[in-house]
Amino acid sequence: MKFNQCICYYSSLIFVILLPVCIADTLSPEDMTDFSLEDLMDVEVVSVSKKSQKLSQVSAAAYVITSDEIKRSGVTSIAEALRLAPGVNVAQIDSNKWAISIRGFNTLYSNKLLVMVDGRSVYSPFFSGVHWDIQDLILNDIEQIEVIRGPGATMWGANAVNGVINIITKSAEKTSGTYVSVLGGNNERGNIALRYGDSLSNDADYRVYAKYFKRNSFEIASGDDGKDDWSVARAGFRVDWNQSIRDAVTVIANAYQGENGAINSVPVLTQPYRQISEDQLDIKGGDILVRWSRFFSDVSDFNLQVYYEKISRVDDVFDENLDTYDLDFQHRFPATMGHEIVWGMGYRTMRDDTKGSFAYSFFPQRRTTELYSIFVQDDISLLEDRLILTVGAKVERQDYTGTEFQPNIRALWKSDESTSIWAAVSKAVRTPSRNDSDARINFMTYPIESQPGIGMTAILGEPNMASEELLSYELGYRTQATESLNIDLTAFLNQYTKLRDTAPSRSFFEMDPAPPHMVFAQSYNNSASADSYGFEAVINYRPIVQWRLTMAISLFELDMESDNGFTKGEEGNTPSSQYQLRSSYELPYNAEYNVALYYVNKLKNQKIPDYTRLDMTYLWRPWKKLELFIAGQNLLDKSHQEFGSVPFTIATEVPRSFYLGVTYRVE
Amino acid sequence: MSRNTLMAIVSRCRFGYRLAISFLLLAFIFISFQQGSAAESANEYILKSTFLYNFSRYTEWPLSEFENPDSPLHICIVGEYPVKNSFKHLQNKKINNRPLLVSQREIDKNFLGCHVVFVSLSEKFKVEKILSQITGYVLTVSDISSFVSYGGVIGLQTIRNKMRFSVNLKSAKQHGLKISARLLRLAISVEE
Repeated sequence: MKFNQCICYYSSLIFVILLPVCIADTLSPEDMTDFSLEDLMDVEVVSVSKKSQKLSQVSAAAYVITSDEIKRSGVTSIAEALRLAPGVNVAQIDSNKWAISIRGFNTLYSNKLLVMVDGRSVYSPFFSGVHWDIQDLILNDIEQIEVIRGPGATMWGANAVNGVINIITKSAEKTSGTYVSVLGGNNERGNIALRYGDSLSNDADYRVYAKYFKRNSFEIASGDDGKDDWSVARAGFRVDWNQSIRDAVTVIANAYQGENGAINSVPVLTQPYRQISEDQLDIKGGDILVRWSRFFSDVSDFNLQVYYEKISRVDDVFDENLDTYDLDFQHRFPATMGHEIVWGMGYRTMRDDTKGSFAYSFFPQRRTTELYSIFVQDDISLLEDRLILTVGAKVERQDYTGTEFQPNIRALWKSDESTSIWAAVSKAVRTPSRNDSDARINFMTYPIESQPGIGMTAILGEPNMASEELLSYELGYRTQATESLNIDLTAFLNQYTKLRDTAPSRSFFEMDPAPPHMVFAQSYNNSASADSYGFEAVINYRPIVQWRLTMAISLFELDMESDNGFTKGEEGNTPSSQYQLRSSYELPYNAEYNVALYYVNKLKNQKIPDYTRLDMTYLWRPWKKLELFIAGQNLLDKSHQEFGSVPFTIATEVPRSFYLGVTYRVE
Repeated sequence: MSRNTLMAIVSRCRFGYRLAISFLLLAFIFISFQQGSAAESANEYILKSTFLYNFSRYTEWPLSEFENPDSPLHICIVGEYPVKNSFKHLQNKKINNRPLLVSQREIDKNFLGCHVVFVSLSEKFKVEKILSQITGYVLTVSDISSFVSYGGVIGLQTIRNKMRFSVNLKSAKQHGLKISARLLRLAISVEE
């Protein structure tokens, strides 16, 4: 009896495996010669050189998160997708807030990381940081996320001190047809995305989309509800028009509206000197970008781009309304043989209107600032393309500090077809934000012995703040060791000067708001400095076609020099080590099984212990049009905290979560 | 193996063993089906060779260059390609009743008898030398960057993942070639 069962089992297994598995359709050479020339020009080129080979030409620490990687990871937001890149610190503060940085200085508004979406800067000039809650797209629309660790000052300008993140969406041509995605779980209460794409004509394609999600609140350490649930609805479109062989015009627009919950913790002038209350942040805004590109050849083109963005964020602590207008021009051309020059100019104006509260306000409440920039970069090719020297500089003029100059020099040496070594020395600056210059932050209130009996510590902005400066030395090594093994190593040493610090400045008596109180003010200054150094490694291994493995390590040390204990504490805001191991396995019947393991070392300054995170996803595509998805995140812990509380809200714990998703797609 | 031993092994077919053996079986089958190359339907060189076929179609050589109306059109490839034999599929295809003959040429040998010369990327730093050796009624094509500025007739380039080409009309005239207006219209740039 057992014998028969066994034979039955194994025969059916073998039969099942030998059923035809889907075969990728390739165009044979014979088919192609029947195409007309016009048709041939429409074919998408699939290059022989791997992504890793293209990266081997970059003299910077770069990692590209692909659309597939994002899908496999099961993440539901852009902020979470950034965990996939090595060297990026992603700490979820609460259900709708993240602290994200590269190479240190992590906080809610990490001021040394520049982030762009399709060429539009999403770095807020208020806090010199990014509002991650409004950076959202249909994740399937993302072509790739380029993560560059280290100063990207020349190309992208100021505030790209420790890195640049470039989120790029797919062209409209690539997202044609109907796409519907629905998912739900214990954290994702409802997440639905709809998209439709089509051709407008022979040369123009468009897509329109709408997306809505609602996410649950997390718990505070005590077990109480953190009241940080949130929901956002958004919609938008993209049009790509290839006006002629040489010209292309792209229009991208988005609009969103949402509500983020939070528990606020603010100082008050009466007992018990702190008020904790539920609050809701109303967010709404939109953006529109138009870009015109003209191509002369594969090494010569220019881009002219204009965009407008409106942001509105209103809650009990602070109202932010910001209008941004930006114009950018970039031209790339080969100069005398061996020189490829890129140069560009930009102008941006930011008009804000704010309304503060006791805890936090700006003076003046309204301000319009302008930014002018010009950059030039020369890629010099020597020794028959084996050595590429890049020399560049960016000059920017803004209202806070006047003119800033950011030069850099880089070298890339290709020792052979599969190995390259690069080195770079760069100077980058982080210009003061509205916060640094104009803020009044009432940090803490307390009773005092002398009249009037109430004291308050406040931080005052300093209009004469200078820019923070960085001198960075980097070294990298990349090799495609074998057909299936790729190794990328980077080491860096950063020397920071003129870092923002606070020091006691003056004390004064204040009557308004009542009751009267004594203000012990601290002012911002540039007296801190720091040295940081670290090492980052990524290894990609694909032992068989169906199995992809990625391992990443990042090690980091920061030495702050400051008399202020609070500033010195910055050393413990970034983990000294982070590791990740990700596996993706293709199963028969168009299924896939992915596992990701992350380890993040403790945050000494925040009293956050180290944690290990395990994510698993299982994907199955039973028919061409339908895909099923089951994902689990943070499977090892019931919940854990990733970052401390930041003014003026309370941090909550990231829970274990699961969700089920269905995607329907017709092309 | 005796019948007793076989029965003994088979009788151990409990779940745990089945699972382990299934996994091994699956792994073995996956590995044996593995295709090997990570190039995964890369079409770059199929596209380039097909473009070359079309360039040959829309170029006119003086009749004196051919013995008969159905004499072959010689395509000479200089250098190597990452994808071997990418141009092989053009062999014996016909253009206006002329069969195409594809052959490899060494850089230092002359290019007599070639109607079309395709310079591969591997010869990037010898472009000027190669072009100086080519006089006469020859269509020079390449995917080397800025090929037309060196004097090549047609340069292939990939722009935003689409195949494009530029034409050096002055060079075409110097080589006694007539390029069809249809081709010129689709070029990203035409140098006169």
